[in-house]
Amino acid sequence: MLDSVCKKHKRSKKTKKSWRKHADIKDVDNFLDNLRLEERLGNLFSHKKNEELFTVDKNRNTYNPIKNNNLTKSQYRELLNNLEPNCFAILKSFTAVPDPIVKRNCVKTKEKKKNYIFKQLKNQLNLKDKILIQNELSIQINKPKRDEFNIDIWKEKSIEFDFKNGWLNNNTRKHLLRNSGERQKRIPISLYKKSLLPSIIMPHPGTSYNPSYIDHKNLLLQIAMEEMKLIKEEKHLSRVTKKVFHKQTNDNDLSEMSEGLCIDKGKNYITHNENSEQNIQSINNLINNEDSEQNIQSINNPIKNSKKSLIQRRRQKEQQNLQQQQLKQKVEKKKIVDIYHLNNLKNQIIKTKKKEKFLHEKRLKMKAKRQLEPKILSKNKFEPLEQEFQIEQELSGNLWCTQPIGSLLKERYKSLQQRNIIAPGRLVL
Amino acid sequence: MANFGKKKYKAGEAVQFMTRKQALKKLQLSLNEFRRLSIIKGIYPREPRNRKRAQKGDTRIKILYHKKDIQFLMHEPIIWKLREHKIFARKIDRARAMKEFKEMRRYLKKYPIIKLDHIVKERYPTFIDALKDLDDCLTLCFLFSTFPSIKHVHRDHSALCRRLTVEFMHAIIAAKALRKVFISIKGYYYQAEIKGQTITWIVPHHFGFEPQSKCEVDFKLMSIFVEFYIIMLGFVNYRLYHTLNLFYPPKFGDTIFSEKSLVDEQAFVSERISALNIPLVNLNSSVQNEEDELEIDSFTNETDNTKIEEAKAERAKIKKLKTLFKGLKFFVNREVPRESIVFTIRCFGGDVSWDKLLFVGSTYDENDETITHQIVDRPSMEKQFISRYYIQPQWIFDSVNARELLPVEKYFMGCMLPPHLSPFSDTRHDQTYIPPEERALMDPEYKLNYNKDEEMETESEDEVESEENTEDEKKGEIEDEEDISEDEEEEDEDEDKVLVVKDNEKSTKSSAGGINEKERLNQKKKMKVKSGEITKEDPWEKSRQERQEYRLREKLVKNKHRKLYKSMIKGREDRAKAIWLLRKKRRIHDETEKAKKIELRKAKRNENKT
Repeated sequence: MLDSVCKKHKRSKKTKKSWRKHADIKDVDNFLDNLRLEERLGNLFSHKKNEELFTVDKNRNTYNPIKNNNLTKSQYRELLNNLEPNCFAILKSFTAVPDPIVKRNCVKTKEKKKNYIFKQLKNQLNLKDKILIQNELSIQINKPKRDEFNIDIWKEKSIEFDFKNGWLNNNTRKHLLRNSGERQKRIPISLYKKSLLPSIIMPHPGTSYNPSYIDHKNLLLQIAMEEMKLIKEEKHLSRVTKKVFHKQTNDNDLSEMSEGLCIDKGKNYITHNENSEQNIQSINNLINNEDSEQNIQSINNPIKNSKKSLIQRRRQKEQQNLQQQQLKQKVEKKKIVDIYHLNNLKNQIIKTKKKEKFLHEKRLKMKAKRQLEPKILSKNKFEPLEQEFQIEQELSGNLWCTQPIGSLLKERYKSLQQRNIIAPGRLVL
Repeated sequence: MANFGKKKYKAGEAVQFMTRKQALKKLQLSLNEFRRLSIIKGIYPREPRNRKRAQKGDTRIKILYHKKDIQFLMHEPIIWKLREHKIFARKIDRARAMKEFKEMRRYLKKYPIIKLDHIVKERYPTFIDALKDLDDCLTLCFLFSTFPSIKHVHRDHSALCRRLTVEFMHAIIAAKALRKVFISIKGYYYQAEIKGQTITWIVPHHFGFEPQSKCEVDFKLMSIFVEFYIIMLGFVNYRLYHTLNLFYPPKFGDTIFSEKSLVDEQAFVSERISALNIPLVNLNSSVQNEEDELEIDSFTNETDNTKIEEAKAERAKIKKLKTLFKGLKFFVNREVPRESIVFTIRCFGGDVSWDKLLFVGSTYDENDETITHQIVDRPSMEKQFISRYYIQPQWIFDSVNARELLPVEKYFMGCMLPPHLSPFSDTRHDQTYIPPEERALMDPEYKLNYNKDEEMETESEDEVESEENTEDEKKGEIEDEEDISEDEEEEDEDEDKVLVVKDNEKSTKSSAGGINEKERLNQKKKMKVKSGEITKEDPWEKSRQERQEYRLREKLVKNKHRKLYKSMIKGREDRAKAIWLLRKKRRIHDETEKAKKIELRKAKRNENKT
């Protein structure tokens, strides 16, 4: 009997899985089920009184707590707003019966596993991190601002030791500078070499808003002269190019344009045929000639090494000697003659020197002139800005009615180009 | 024979130059970055002596840089900042593309700003160097201060330009450094003198912003220049304020540079002008501002006395110029462009105000009785005060250029203005012919002898009339004159005769007395104590001596310069001769004109008589 009712086997409880496997928990389940049932239904009906089970319903909608009261619409809405949303109901436990297993499937995270001492230590900042944060803060505070000028950069430093004095060797100076935290810097001279042209060219007196008559006329004259120069050049160009081609006769235009078109096709064929016949004939003739004349001269004849005779050699030598003697005599004679030509030579030297001097001066002048002209820096040619002017009708004569003319920005841009600061760029259209 | 072992383009000019592309490769920068760097550092392209050699046989024209210049750029620490910029831009782009705007904002906060202080110091080792190069800087800054925020111009830049230019103008006002003003059709030319350096800048007329066409100006390039010049101007301002014993940065009240000023152009302009009317705060009130009122050293190297005198006169003039408008009170009418006028008046110590209702910052009302000048640019006004002059704005600029207060008559309201002459034109050499009319315009002391002439003419007319009336008398007078002259001649002859007579007497005496007696008398005469005579200086002697010395000095001119000297002297003589000729022409012309006039009048009178 005992065996059949509860024969207890000893099961291994080694693994976690086997903990619940062969445990009899029926009584616990029953108990819990009873509890739930009781919760749902309350105590047994038989034990309850009538008053507990039944009530007299006097109002219509008693179950709705909101609708129950006579609320205004706004109040009702506010209440609805404050109510817990229905969607949260699913998250709540639906019984008041507590879960018998309190620690159900408790998995510790890495953080929870840690020892609290270790945690405290961790919360304290590392020295390295501290420095980092401080640095970041200092960067934020000391972040350079573009519009702040609070130092005098040209203030002369009180240098304790003059590194630039002439007593130091160059190497020593370098060494000393390096150890003092400074560096010897070589700045290219071009930084301080500037164009001879002024950055702002003084205005022509005729550009005044209320110019004197003569100044204004002078300005207009100057502009007119420049314009005339341009017109002249244009005319010259058209004369040299367009008009030259105009003069060419166009008699053979038709034949030139119709080249390759088969207008006289038959004729052309005939000529071709004739040509081919002639060629054949000439080749035949050549072959015949070769056959008839056997002694043909080669183009590069063999050289015969013919020796000179002794007499010939002697004569040659004599000739050579004589020639040399004559040459010597000639030189000697020239020397004597040159003495008489001394004055002439002197004049020649003076003349060449004079010419050289003249050329030198000219070159200097050209150089001075070139220094004022813009250099060729890029493939685009620099084109100077035209002088601004107003004609008499445009001049208002009072400050109030002056009209804008020209663009200052453009003028600045051109000025920079003229002073070789920027290379003239391509026009973007 | 070919030179073996020596390759072409391995030494000399070929190695000294680099094309821009090579430079980019060497610096590992993009073209835009390179442009920015080179402009900020002041490195510009070069022209080689022989292009073909410099380009290693290539004859196309390329943009070349000197090798040393590129090496100099290579050592610049801001290259690293430029590279940071590149990475920063990439991060921002990524964040934007991923729509991680929080990240983007965090990055933007850490925008790497490039500091250019050391470059300013490097390019301009001294303050004077910076002042020398201020022309470009000021003109560009004044120009950019008028720009709104456009594509390549950062809004910060134009705002900063506005601030710095106003500050600079204040420094000029405090230093009283302005010397010349010229209104051209292009804009206002100002010339100031700071620490002996003349600084010229142009301020555009205030008109609405005109969009620039892309094909004319490279905006990007210009904004890089401005980026550098802003920093430079800031430091120059700092230094200027501190030398003037003023607090930097100056405070002009709360209104200026507010958000509103960025939006409303008109409001900005009026606030900017009102800022000019506020006196600045002194850095240290106990220290008096040390003006450069030092006297010229009497022990100068200059040997020429006249030059020292000239310099002294110039100095006195400038001293007078600095307080030109002191004590004068101006009121600017609303139609007058105010900025330049307020600036110039304040520079020379005047007080200015304007309509209280229209613009901010006016200091006194139009009804103020102490106002001396009201600046008007309209033909007439209804309500006028007796106590003040109503003048046109040109009077201010002309009197600044003339360095004294010009008479106001020519500049009254509605008057035809005299021409506004350029103070910069250097055509007025000391040896040029100036017609009397022009001279009268130039210096008010010189007076035309028109009035005199007219008086003379009237006199002569009177004479003529009298002559006509008494022709007979005149004839008689002439006869009388002839008589007198005859008498004089006779008298002369008489004197001669007397002299001869005296000589004769002497000779008779000597013959009568003995020879010994004669000698004795002679000796006695010699022994006689004579009263001392003042040695008469020959008036010409001194000048003769000077001329001689001058000629000797001329001989000391070096052979090298002799030709130049000769040409100079020749030129001077020629010019003098030309002037003389022109004057003579003018005189003859005037005389003939005068004669013609008289004749005409005579003819008229005769007609009237008949």
